[in-house]
Amino acid sequence: MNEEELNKITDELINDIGVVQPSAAFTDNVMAALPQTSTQKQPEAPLIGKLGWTLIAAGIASLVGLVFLFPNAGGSDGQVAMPFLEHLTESLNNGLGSLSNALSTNSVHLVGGIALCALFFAAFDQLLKRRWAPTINLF
Amino acid sequence: MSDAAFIEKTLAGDQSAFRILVERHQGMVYTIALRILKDKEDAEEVAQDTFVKAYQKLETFQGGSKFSTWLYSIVYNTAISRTRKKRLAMQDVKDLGDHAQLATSNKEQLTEMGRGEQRKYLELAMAELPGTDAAVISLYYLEEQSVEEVGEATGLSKSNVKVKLHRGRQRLQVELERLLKSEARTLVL
Repeated sequence: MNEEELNKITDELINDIGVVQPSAAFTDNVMAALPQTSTQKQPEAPLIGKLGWTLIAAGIASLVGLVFLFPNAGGSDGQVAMPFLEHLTESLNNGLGSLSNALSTNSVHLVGGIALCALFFAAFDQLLKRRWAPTINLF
Repeated sequence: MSDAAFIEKTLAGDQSAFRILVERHQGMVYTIALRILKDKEDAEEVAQDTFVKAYQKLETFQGGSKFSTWLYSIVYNTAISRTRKKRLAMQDVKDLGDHAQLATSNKEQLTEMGRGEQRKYLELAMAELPGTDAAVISLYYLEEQSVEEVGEATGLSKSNVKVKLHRGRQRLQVELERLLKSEARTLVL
């Protein structure tokens, strides 16, 4: 007699008893006890919706278009002649006093450029996430 | 249809899909609870709690293991914490000689009995086992889970599962012998 035989006999005995079933109303009781709140996964709402991205893309496209349409629109000292930006800087100068003195047209261009790049990469990232969600994540 | 498909449906908001999962696994979940708690009412309550917990946490089920194993780990832990609350004493197992010999003799006596009587003695013997041992034995023999899967469901190490299986087998035979002897005595008297 060995452990293997004991194992075999135990197996037969336990399977003779089998699985014990709960009362007939068990399933109904469980279903009645389930919380009413759904376990459904809440879809993640995007920070910027479809319309937002369309507007951003349109903005970028129009900026690129403007650059292509007016390639020589520049000032004599190398600065880009953009009257609305100069006007904006002026307003900021008037409004913010000494702080805005440090804000030149070049710095506005720099900040604007960085912001545009960031928006572009964010849009690109969203696009990649939709197509290859499990594998690619830029940010 | 696989469990995974019903889980997916439940997560999509279809509660009737969860009903099928309950119907599919209620027997084993209840059996584990009963083996640990030794009380039908408590076992039914714990089995019900198990399914409610599973429903609430279904989103966290990763699918790395079988759904049944995940469910058994919930019922095992819920039942164990219930026994702790009720301060049920777990009995020690003594080493009591040649269990294989005992098993053959018990088996012969049981074979001579009717099926109903046979089942009654086996149930009584199982009820005498410490709850965790009885649960481990049920998972291993009834569900044909591997030692690793039993360990996953119960949180016990592989060696601990093996010890519990070994002791459970021995204890089952000792209890059966005791019950059958007392039956024989009753018949003589």
